[in-house]
Amino acid sequence: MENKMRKVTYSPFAHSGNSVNKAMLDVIIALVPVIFASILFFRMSSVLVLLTTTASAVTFEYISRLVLKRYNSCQDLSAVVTGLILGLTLPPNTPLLLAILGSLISIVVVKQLFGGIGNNVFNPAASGRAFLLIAFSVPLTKWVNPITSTYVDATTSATPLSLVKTVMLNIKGGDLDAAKTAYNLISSDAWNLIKLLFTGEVAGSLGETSALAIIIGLIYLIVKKRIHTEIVASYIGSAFVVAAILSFAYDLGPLFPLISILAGGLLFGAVFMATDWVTSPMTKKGRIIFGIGLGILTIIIRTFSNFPEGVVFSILIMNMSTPLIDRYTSNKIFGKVKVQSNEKK
Amino acid sequence: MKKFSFKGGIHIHGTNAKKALTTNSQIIIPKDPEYLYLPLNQQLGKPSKPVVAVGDQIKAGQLIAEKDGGFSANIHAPVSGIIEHIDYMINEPTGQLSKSIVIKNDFSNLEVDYITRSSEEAMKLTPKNLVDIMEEAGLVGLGGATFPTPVKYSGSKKCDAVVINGIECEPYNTADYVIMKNHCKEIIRGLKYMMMASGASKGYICIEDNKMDAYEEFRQSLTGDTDILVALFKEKYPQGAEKQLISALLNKEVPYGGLPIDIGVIVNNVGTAKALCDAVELGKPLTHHYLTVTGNIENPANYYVPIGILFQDLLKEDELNRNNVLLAGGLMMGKTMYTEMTPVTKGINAIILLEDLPKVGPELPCVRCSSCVDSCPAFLSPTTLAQLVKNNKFDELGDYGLVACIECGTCSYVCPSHIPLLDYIRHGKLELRRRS
Repeated sequence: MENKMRKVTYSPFAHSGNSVNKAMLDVIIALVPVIFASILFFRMSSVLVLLTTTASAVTFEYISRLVLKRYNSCQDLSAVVTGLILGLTLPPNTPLLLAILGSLISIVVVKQLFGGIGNNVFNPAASGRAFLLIAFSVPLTKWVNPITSTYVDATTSATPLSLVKTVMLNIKGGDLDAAKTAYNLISSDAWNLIKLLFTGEVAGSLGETSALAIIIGLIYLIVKKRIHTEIVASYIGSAFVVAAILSFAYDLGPLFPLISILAGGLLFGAVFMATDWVTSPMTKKGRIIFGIGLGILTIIIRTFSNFPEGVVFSILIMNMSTPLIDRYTSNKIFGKVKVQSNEKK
Repeated sequence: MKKFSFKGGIHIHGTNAKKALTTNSQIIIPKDPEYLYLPLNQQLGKPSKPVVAVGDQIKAGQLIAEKDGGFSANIHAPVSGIIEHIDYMINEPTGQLSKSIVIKNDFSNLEVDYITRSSEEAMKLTPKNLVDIMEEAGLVGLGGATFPTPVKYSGSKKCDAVVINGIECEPYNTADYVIMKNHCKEIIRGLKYMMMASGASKGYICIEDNKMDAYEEFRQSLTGDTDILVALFKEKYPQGAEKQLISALLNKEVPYGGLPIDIGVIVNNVGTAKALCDAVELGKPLTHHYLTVTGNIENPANYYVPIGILFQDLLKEDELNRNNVLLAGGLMMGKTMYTEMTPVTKGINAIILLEDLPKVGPELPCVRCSSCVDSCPAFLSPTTLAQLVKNNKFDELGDYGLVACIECGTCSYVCPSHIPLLDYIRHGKLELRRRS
């Protein structure tokens, strides 16, 4: 008993048991309803794209860690998450070679060359998606309708977002009458459209169509405390406000802001991409500013640029400003207060 | 019902929350040991000076070491016996080799004559008398910091409120709870003496909502009393940290690097209040206190022990052999002991035996999840501080508020990348101290 060697170290002597791969696993679980919806609507094309991006992302992660002579980081599951999210932002029937190229950009260029998990400045999946959209805009804007689709516009397979974009383009071109005509096309059947946007039976990127599936994922992440809800709330809230201002200014009717939020990848981006820990600010205040910036930028890009979608670009721009936001929104340190002298009289 | 709470912090639950082991256990009074080891360096400040010599016959309650200067405390003999050694022979719980007085118990239980006072007499005492009693009884803060109590009451600053801290947010400790359950009246009287000594008009007793029975008892005992308020707090770690406690209760922040008295508040532990009551009314010095002995052992319980008893005397041999980690203090802020030949000092309120340290993975890169930022009770960014320390940028630590860190360990506890954030921060503090 005299010679019993005890373990000696510093406090605390407990750990919450939290870990990065548990968090990543929770994100993957939250993505399950979205994946399920995409397979339901797009069948084999969804399975193929998702498998390709995920498998290639993990492979690239493994190879680059090997080449860079770092520890193998595949078990933290962050590559799986990146691969899945990238796949879910791609249109169905994306050429698989492009999907692999997207993973390459995401994992090797944006993540590993910056130092791996924790050190990347940009959201890997968003960067991969943005690269593909710019470099290969034709295949990346070819949409197909869901197999189960009942939406009126089945022949042209226009996405709800491209309908919104037509409105926006006409506003930008100064042709307000055309904008209203284009909008009437949507608003004539607005409630039906909103219903379809909610369930996801519309043309669009694999994982972005079903608001319901994304909300289920969001609720799971909130319950598991894996998500900074301030980002989601301020992003969606500010996008709604900006769209409402546009709607008011151009007399587009009360449902336009709601359609703006449900159409396209805004909801998916807000829940799964903007809330990425690594590339978002670290204080509550900062995250609210981050979300507001995202909302404003998304609607501005949608309205005034040539791209129909503004989510990935706004996420990349706000990722860039994260260090700046962090710098000016640090918490007020406890005890940094002015005090009067408290001497006895 | 209003529940107070500070901003930030964490909820400790699951396998780490083990208060239930000892909340309802009986209080055990261990057999007095044959030898007691009283380190002279039991309090924050200077070590005490021995006033006895080897071979002296002493009675229980007798002064054996007196305070050395203002920032120190008296030490009394818990039992009667003979002074066997006064030498550097044992490590105190901080790990330092400290000069100690070793008493060989003669089991005759001879006590010195204590000066008792009735409550009425006690109520007539002046603040000066009360501070003298605190000094005489060797009172120190029993929450763990062992700040000499009289120092808090003899300063030149005005005090508006005395806060009794019965939060006990450490996940294994229940000694304060036991004191509150068994000595409610004494604590209230102790608080009244504290208010008299400080001239404060308001008193607060702070209890966390996992100790509702204690809260109700205090509420009932204090019906009709308008000066003392029993405040209920949300269960959260580190709710009991005094500066965070004050900000939750009174919405005032203790300035950076300052003491609560700078904003007119004195905080004392429930154990200290009870000890003051004993000192005033029974004339008894601080020689015994409550202690939680818990963890991976057969009979976790609360003990009422003489100061100077060895950890070894409170634990069974097989328990010591099958557990690798011996903690003094608490799971979150305690210290590991390398030997059970360590004496219980005034500041030790729990002994925890654990089979092993928590199994956490290797340190991984920070993923900026901001768990540490969101839960830091001092509103710091622990990961930024750790990053600065790693990069040897010690000069910038001050700008990021290093001084405000209370070393509660919340950041290390929550980190999903298993970064020992608090270790880095401590390293930064040491380096800055070395440089200044």
